[in-house]
Amino acid sequence: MRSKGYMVLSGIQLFWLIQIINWSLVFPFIKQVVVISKQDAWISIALGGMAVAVFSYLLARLRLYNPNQSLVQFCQRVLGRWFGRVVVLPYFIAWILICSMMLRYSGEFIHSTLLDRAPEWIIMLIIVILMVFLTSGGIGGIGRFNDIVGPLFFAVIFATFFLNMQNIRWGRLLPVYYDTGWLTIIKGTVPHAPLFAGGSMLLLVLIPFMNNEAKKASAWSLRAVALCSITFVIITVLGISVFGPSMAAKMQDLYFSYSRSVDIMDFIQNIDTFIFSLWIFGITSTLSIYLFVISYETAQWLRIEDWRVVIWIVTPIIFITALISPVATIFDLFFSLWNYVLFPVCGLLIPLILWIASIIQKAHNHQIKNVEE
Amino acid sequence: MRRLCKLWMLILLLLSMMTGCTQNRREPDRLAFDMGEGLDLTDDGKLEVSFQIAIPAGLSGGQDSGGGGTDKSFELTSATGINVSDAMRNMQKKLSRELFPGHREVVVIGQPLAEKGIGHLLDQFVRNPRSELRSKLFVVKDAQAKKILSKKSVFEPYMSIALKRQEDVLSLHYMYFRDFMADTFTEGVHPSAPAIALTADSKPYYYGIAVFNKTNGLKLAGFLDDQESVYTNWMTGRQSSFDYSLNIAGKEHDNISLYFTNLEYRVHTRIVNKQIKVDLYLTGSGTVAENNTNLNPAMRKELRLLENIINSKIQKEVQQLIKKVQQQYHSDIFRFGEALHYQHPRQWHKFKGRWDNYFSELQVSVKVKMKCKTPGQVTAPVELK
Repeated sequence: MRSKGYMVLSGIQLFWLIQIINWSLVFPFIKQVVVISKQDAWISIALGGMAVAVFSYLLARLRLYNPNQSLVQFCQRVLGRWFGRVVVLPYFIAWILICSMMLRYSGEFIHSTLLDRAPEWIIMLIIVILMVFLTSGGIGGIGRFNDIVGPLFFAVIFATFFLNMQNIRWGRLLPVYYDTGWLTIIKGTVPHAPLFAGGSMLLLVLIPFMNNEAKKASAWSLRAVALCSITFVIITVLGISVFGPSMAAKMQDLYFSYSRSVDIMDFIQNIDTFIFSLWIFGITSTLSIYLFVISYETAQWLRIEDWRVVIWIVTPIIFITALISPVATIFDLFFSLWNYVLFPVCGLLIPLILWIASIIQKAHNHQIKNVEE
Repeated sequence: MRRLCKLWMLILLLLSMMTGCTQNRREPDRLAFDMGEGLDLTDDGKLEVSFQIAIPAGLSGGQDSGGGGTDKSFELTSATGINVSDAMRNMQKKLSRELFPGHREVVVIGQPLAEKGIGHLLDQFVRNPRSELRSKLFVVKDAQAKKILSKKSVFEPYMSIALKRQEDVLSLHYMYFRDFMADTFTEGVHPSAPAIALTADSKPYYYGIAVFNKTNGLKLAGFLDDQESVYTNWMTGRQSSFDYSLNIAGKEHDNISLYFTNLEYRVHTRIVNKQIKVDLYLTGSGTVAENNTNLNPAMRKELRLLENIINSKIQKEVQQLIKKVQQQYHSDIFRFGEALHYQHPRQWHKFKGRWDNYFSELQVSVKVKMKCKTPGQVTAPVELK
């Protein structure tokens, strides 16, 4: 493993990294929860957040069995040379898909709200160039970038909480629970929690870069998920109390519409521009992280010495997938694929196999040691 | 380092390409700022959309400086179409600048269109990404919307801003277009919007409230006048203060005016023997603004008397208002259905589908408790005996 200065990720950088991924990736899709669990969407999101917190903690603990090897090496060591390589493949599919879906979404969103006369592929191409540039700096570079963008992003999101107070009707959150019931509330977590957990899945790859801070990774990721869940819950509560559950369910992006409805004394308006620019920062960072993770692990998988070469193979794949995917209808398809196939396999099944195998191996090693003694 | 240089070269190359092909130039002098939109029904049943377009030159000029190119501050342009976007496109043919709805202050709907129903026109206002979520909604009584928008305001450069400021002065909360939509989609509520009418010499004034019924196509059900809409706004938390004048003891010269603030309301619903009962509590505190009666508000006993007279009068008027809306309009604009939904969420499904029928037969008891806190700068009435 090459370990130069730019391949080190600190704890706080991991914290902001998870934060930014979720803000830029999950925020646009909060609305899908409102469609299902209406005014109780915030309960669904809180429940989902708790589940994701537990999930991230466990995933980090699993990774700490072997914090110095890459995911491919780890799988190979635990599951054997051949099976270990096969088991990593679903991750590549998941990450490439999520990357191209996000690229497509941001291209489309920027196209519709800001640059409606620029062809979409150019917008996407520019994002791709930024993403390649950032990724070539290594994970340390992305981490530094997040160090700056993260607090800024948080400050803006935090500020928006207070700017819409005169438009809020708390009554729109009522009645709590009775209209939906537990079953619907739990169903509401389906479009949210798996996507939210998708960010934490990166821990499997990122922990080895944390060197001496690896032990704290689970604590940092827990904090990140907690803060994220809180912002999601607050935004859902505020969004529903401004628009009402049925209108909120019709909005394309609840948070963006929420920020567009801010109007204080005819003076503080159009704060969506701040959010928009920070969101573009966030998207760039998120896409770079995914690109890094895919490139690095692919290099390990193919046993290529310099992982940077792989960027030039992976990027066109992501770009072309994003380009050819059909507009608007792709998201439904992606979400059913992600929620019902990719996440259960990559997030739950494979880590479980790895965990069981690690325990068995540990016990086995222990036994051998005892026998030798 | 060489890699970095190459990357920068590529970025620069792409950036230079961008300038040529995007054409996303949105300089202010290429845009026609839409300050307000009026939706109307033409005589032959078509949708007509009027756009109040700001003329920046007319704004900077003013009356004394005379520096501007034109003395008009806006231009009203109308076009018909099968929907709002179509009308917008047709209107664009008459304008040399691109229409920009991002500063739209108001959306005004003419009575003929409101009576025909506006349920099919809502989509564009939230779908269009450049549309404005902060537009306020108004309905015009007995006239077309464009008639209002074409009027000159006394103070404001645009009628659309004047309409908005009028609401500020009357301490009303804005009815944003999105609020109207949210009400439309809420169970047990029928939406309402502020109404504007024209005086005999065709000057716009705040008339009251336009009541809608969403049951089939969001049609205008009728209007409530000034005093009725004060009560309606009070009962739905849309107004924080109002002026009130009344005659006491039936004599013409014995009258008193008060300024009420701190308006509060509480709706309490009960289900007794499958019958829904609503208790409405209205409270507030007042300042005496003018007193031409023999009562002295500084005297405890006389103050109580005064308060009792006011309370029973308001109570009677609110009762009448509720009866009127129940029997004439059949639209629950008072949000009683919503209150029942929130307070009895388990039983709501029984009433949900037929709420309009239940609303018409609802028993509402009104309790008013106003307090005259300050008598003003004088105590005993100043009067020539």
